[in-house]
Amino acid sequence: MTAVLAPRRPASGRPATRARGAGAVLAFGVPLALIGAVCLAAPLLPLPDPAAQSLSAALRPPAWLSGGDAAHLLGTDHLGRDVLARILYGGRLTFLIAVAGMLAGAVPGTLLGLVSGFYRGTVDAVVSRFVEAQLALPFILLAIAVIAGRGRSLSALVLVLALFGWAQYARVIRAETLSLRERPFVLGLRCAGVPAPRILLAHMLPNVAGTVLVLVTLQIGTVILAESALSFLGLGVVSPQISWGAMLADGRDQLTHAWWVAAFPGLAITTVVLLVNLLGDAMRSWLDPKKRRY
Amino acid sequence: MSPVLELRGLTIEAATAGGRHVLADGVDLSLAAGETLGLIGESGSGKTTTVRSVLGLLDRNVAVSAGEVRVLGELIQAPGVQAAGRVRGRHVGMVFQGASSSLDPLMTVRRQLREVARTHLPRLSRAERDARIAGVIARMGFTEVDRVLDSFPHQLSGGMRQRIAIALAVVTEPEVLITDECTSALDVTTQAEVVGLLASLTAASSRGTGMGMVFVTHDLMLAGEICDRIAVMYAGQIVEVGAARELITAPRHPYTRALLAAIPRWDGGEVRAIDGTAPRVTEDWPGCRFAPRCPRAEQICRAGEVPWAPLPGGGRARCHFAAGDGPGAAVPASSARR
Amino acid sequence: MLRFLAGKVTRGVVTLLIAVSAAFFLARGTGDPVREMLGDLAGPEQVAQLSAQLGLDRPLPVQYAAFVGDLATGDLGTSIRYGTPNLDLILGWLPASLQLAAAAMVLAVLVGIPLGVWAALREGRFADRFASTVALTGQSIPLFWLGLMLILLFAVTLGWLPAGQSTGFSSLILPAVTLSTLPMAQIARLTRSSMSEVLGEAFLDATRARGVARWRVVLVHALRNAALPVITIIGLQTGTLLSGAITVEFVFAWPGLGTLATQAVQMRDFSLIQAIVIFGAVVFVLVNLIVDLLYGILDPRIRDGVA
Repeated sequence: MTAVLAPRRPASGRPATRARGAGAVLAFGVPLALIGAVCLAAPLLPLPDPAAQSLSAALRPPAWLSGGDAAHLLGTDHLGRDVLARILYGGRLTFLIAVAGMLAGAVPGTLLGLVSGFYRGTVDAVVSRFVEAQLALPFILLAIAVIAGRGRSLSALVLVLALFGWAQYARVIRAETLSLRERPFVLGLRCAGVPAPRILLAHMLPNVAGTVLVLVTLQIGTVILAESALSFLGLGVVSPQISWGAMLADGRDQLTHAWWVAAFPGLAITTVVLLVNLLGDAMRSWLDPKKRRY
Repeated sequence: MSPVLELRGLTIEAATAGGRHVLADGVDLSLAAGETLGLIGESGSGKTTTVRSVLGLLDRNVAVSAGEVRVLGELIQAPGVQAAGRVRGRHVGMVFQGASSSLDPLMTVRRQLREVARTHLPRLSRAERDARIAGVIARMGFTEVDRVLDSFPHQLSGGMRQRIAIALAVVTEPEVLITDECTSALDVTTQAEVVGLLASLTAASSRGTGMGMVFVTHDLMLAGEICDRIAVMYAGQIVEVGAARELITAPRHPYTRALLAAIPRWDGGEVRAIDGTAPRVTEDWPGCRFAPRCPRAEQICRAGEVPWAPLPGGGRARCHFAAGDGPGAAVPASSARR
Repeated sequence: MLRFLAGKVTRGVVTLLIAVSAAFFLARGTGDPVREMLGDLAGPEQVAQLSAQLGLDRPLPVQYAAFVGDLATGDLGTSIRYGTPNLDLILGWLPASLQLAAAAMVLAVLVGIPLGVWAALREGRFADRFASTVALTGQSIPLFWLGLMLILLFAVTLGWLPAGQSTGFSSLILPAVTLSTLPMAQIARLTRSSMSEVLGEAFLDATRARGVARWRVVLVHALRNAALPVITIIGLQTGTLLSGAITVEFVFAWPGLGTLATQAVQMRDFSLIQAIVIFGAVVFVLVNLIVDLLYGILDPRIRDGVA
């Protein structure tokens, strides 16, 4: 009942905890939405053309350093392209790939989790082995294998990200469904002869929606990191398309004499992924005060 | 002879979001060597908090705000004093409710006993300690000593686990054993076994003077079987103390009476539940704490601190009407005290 | 215990079979590797010739049967560019990777577990928030970018440490620190949550009441009971470590499997890529088999099949 070792906070009322949870969700969600909005609105902003090359303006440092130019706030890369403009335009593609890759994994993963948790037996055994097998394949190696076969393209990238993401959803949603199916309301529906697909989609799915939402959020961060790693290795987006990972790959070669080319896109990735992870954590404790681990 | 455990005016408070709550209020108790003292009360009466404070096992927001605890005459708890470490396990052993949750699930019984023995008996050789361990397991009524010692907790039954927990508490031969609801989770036959075992432990130890035991329970009849004296606790206060037989056959405090009346009886007598619930006590609670639920409460009961009334059998009760004869006797408070 | 072991081994083999089959079909079923290898300028004869040479002109089921048959005998095929058995290549480049991965994992455990325990003991206070923030940041940084920034700071600007593959212990420091970040963060987070759960359990109070010292209660009883999920994540991390190693090895030009894989991609050595994928899966399954067995050793309840 009590614990000397684990300092317990005095019992706090649940409404207060929930309000604080909602506050945290806003505190991380709003900046994230702002960053997203700025990236989306990039073409409307007074920015240099992200693809415009100018060798005379190559490798300008950020504006506040000596030799900097107010027209290029975060400096320019080796082809004289504006780093800030490229980060904002690159953010569009990064977010697009993140959302597409996340959805491509979330939809089949959630459905498989629901089905295997609900029907159990053989279906469950098969899905569970596939989940384990997916975890066994080192992601980037798997991505390399697929892209080596198909060639680089956006669709190959999204396919790889889906292959990477689905297992996490399937695993967690399966566990959730397993406990949900024993709840009285589900037993009642089954006794009343409601067909299984209807129970699954109309009654179970809404009940796991909160968990899916949290997973989706956390997964977006993972997908952004995965995409950046692939683009960094030259397996992701193809020039002239811009993503943050691809910008990092460019910056690597200038590292010793122009740190800003690699530093800022990486900072952008870290900031966005950190915000996404904080948001996911906040949503989890908001939606699930019992703090289940997954 | 001086008491082995003594609580004097022990007051324990909890700081919560809703203000300060008094969990124990001026508790006076003393335990002599070889004596068994029952501490009775409903859940929430403060009995568990009181005994846990002896070993310094309080939550972070709970603290002793007045009074003191002495073990073998040495001060170990008082406001600003926290010396429980000196007596834990060595002079005061404790057995908790739910034996399955008081053993480390990943260690064999032998390793857990050795850990305690090594901590408190560093002068003995390893062989002497192992002999002591085998002896205590045998005293707990186990015959296959080695098999039990090499078991993990999950391989033993609930009653066996509780006997192991007792062995862990008494292997160092402490002067005081505190058992907190240690039989509540057991079935009736196992419970009888464990109670018999505890009674045999206090009867005589190897050192000649018996171990003193505080037996915390909500079961008044069980306490009557095993205890020499019983203290009844209500809403943080001791309301009646007396010899066990005396207290059960002639209870003087209305709360003790109500407790006895709430026990189902084999002779088909009427069972009466106590109406209402025990109050959560904040700092300034006027008068008797049982007054709101008491069938015979009067104006005076709510007025101010209720003094102790000495009872004919040597006990005392915290009630204006305690000296009256039998139930229903409405003796004015003034005459009761004279 | 024997049944427990047999069950785990069977599951491991099934998992592995699914994983290698997935790798096979994903690589062959979804595109045209020969076309990718030769580029757009190659004529149809060249494509046909290389396909025949690689056995890619046969029907897919036939290829698959041959592939599984070879695997069963430990044959991972032959590298298209090097002309030597893939397994020999992998084993030749493996030691550097093992060295890096081991250093990173040791670092991750040595930092992550104390950080998690510290946070759990001070749950809800500053130390806890600090540790959680460190861990969350560690999970959010792209490893290769962190590697670049560390090079910039410690090798380029300060000149304290070598940036790459030069010999000696000092060259291991930056890559190992970089690679340890993600497992460290996850180990710290999981240790914290597992520990804070165990710290609330009654048997710790009981142990304390027996006079056992506080440090022993925390470090022996509580940590041992909290260790099981942490060990699982350490096992699962080996997979991440292999993946993370590719970008980190690339950044530090570390002569390990990751660099071999990147080279294989650049040279379109499709057979070698596949062999590395399969090798990675085998390592992962083996490590997790060991973790499962460790579980049985550490927790008698799992060995006995209860709880």
